[in-house]
Amino acid sequence: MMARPLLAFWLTLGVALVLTVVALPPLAPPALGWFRPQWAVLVLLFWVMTAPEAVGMVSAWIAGLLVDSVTGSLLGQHALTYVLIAWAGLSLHRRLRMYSLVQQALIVFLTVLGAEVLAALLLRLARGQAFSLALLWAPVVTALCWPLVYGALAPLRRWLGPSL
Amino acid sequence: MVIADHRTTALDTVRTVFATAVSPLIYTAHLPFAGLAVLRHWRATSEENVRLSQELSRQTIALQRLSALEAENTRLRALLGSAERVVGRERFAAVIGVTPDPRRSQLIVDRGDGQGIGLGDAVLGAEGLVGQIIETGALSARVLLIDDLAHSTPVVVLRNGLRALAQGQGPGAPLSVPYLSSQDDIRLGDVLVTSGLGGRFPPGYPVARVVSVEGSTSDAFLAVRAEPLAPLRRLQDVVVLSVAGGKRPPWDRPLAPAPQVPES
Repeated sequence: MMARPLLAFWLTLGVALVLTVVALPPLAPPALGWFRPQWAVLVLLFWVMTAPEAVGMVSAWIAGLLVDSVTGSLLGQHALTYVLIAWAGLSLHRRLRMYSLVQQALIVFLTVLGAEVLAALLLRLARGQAFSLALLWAPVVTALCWPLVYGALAPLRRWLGPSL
Repeated sequence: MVIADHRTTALDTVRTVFATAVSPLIYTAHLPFAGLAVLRHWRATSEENVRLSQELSRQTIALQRLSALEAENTRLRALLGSAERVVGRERFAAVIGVTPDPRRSQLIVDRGDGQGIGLGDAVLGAEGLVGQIIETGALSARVLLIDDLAHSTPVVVLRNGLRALAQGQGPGAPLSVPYLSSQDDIRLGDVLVTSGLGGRFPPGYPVARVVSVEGSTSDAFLAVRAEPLAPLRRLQDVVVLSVAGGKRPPWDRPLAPAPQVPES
């Protein structure tokens, strides 16, 4: 039964993508963009951890390309980081499941931090954009959102079957 | 893959496919804002109607004078023997999304390939130049704004025809106008308009207003900053200027210093 978790992954990823691009109110300062959580990473990590036999690196790569497309990044930037995140999630999924929510949030922080640093490096190479320490905010906010996403997706896992 | 996308145009088709695939998501994300806008319009429609009809009559009167001017212009152009200025096709588009990345300055509009919008088309607002199309999907297109770090606009100073570049410095920051020396005549408050050099933008559209000029005679270059005239963070409707047949016209004639337009 691989079809169901995969379907669930793509549906929840769709919701995550909408949350990713939903506009800030026009009056909000542009700097508020630094505080946006990376919803797609959270959804990806959840499903890699829950259904590693269904959601793997190929799904992560396609998901990354979709994120590239909605955010207007260089094609492949998120695909690269998401494959790495999926790889880390796949190799650690047994341990991750045993961890408490706080420990999992710490892992989320580290993976998103890695992804952000890589993205900043790519932007620096591609267009000479200066590093900004503000990139630290996204990992923090994303990690804080982990219990929220976990709580929202956990009932879905139960519905999918007892084997997961 | 990242390098291929950055260095070449080989992945443009892939981008188009993905942009088409994700455009329903972007429309969905815009739904709450669209709903709010509908509600607001619904409440303000009657007053707006009155205001707009007054505005229309004023514009019609102004237009009558314009048609006379245009006729005169054509006559003078014929006298000078210069080519007719090519006019592209204009399409109205609504802004349905902004990039979530605070390092980039991009918009998404609700017209795409299917409506004849192509890569490189100029995007204008009521107040001035907005940017250009960098990616098209079937139902949407992505606009690179003039204040993005990757965007430079060839401009001239409206007052005296001095050529310059207006480089984006990132979202929200004023544009930088480099390579001007202290001998160059540029002042606070000068309006920069597109020069048409480079062939991307038609000449004569307002871009930015100079907000600071720093540097002394001993410096090699002046540090000039200019604020974009279009409200790039608050845009709702834009005009996409594309050229029929997808061929770029030769906009390569520099703009002569503009004659003083009488105040209306």
